[in-house]
Amino acid sequence: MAGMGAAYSETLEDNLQKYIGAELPQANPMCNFQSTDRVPITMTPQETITSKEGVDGTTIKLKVKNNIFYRGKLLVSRGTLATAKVEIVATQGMNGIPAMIIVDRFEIPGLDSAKMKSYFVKKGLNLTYLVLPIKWVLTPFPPTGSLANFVIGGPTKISPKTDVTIYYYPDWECK
Amino acid sequence: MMRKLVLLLIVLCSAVPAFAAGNSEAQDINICKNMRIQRYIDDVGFNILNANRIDKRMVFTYNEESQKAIMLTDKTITRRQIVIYENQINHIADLNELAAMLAREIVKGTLSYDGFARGFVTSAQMKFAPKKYELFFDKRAVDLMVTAGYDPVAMIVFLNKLGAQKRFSFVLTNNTVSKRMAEVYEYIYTKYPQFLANNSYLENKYYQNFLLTSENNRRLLQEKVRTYSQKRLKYE
Repeated sequence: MAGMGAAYSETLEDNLQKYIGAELPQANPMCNFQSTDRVPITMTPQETITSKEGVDGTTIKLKVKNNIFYRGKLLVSRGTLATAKVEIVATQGMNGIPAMIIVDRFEIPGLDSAKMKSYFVKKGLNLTYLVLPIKWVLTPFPPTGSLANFVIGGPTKISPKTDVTIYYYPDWECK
Repeated sequence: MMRKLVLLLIVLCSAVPAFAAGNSEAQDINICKNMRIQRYIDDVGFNILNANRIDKRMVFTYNEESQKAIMLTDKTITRRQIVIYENQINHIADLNELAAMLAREIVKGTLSYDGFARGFVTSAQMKFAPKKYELFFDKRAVDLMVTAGYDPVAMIVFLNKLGAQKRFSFVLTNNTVSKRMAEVYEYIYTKYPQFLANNSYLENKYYQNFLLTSENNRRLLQEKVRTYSQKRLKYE
C-alpha cells in the first residue's frame, strides 16, 4: 500500500511524521482549451492489477506502444516507460454491478501531464443489463424480483494485454 | 452594457449591509445573498471541472428551498444539474467544504454519462444500488479536490456536519456516515498523507469531533498499518 507500512508503526501518527512539512500535491494548472488537436497515446501496463487484490493509490509502470508524432516531430518514442496511479479499485457488487479500476495521473517523460485527458477506466462484465429486465418481469410476483439483487457483476483487471489509451493536447497553453 | 449591469449588481451586493431593513430592501438583500452564493458555487464547481479536464457538461444551481427528505428524481444524474439546497449550504464554512460537496456530485454526474443509452443504465444502477456507489463517489471526489487544489480533509468535515447517522451499514441501502468518513480518512491517509501530516483542520471543532467519534474505526486502520495488511476493513 503506497505510503503505508513503510516502517513499523505504533500509531497512525507515527507514519505521518515523515510528511510533516512535505510539499502538498500540485493542483492542475488552468489551460486554454481552444486547440482541438490531440494525439492518442497507447500504452501497455507492465504489471497486472486485479479488482480483487488491487490497492488504491498503487503506482504502475506502462510502456508506450508506438512512436508518437505530432506535426512530424517525435513526441515520445516507442518503449518509453511511463507511470500512472491506480486511483480507485472498486469491487463488483450486487445487482450485477461490475468491478472498476480507474487509472489516472499519468507521467510520460517529455510530456506535460497538465495537457492530458488521462482518465482511464476498465470495467468488468456489467450484468445489470440482465438484472433490470428480470427485476421488471418478476415485479408482479414479490419477492421473487428481489432475488435478482444477488446477481454479482464481473471482476476486472488490467494486465500487459490491456491497451491503455489517453489523449495528449500539445497546443493547450497552461499556466 | 450587460457587463456594466452585472458589475453594478455586484457592487450593490457588496454594499448589502449598508441597506436599512425594509420589505423591498429585505428582498434585495436576499437576492444579493443568493447571487453571491451562486457565484461561489459556480466558481468552485467549474474550477473542479476544468482542473480535472472533465469533458462532460454540468451546471450548478443554488436552490433557496430545503432539500426534501425523499427525492424522486436526482437531477445530477437525469439532467446533470447539480442542485445545492439551502439546508446544505448553511453548513458550509469554507471553499474546501463547498468543493467537497460539489466534487461528490460532479463524480456522480460524470458517471451518469457513461455506458449504454447515454448513461441511462449506469444512472439506474446508481439509483437502485446507492450503497455501492457512495464510497466510490466519496473517494473519487477526494481525487478531484486534490487535483483542483482543495484540501481533501474538508470532505471529512463536510460529511461529519451533514450526514445523519443510521443504525446499521450492513442491511440498509446506504452506508453509515461514520463508515464513509473512515473510508475517506483511510483513502487520504494512503494517497495524500501530506494533508493529514500538515492538517489545516486540526483545530477545527468538527474535525476534532470526527476524531472523537471515529476512535474505533481509526484503531482498525492502525492495526492494518501495523500488520502491513491489505485487507479491506469493515468499518462501522
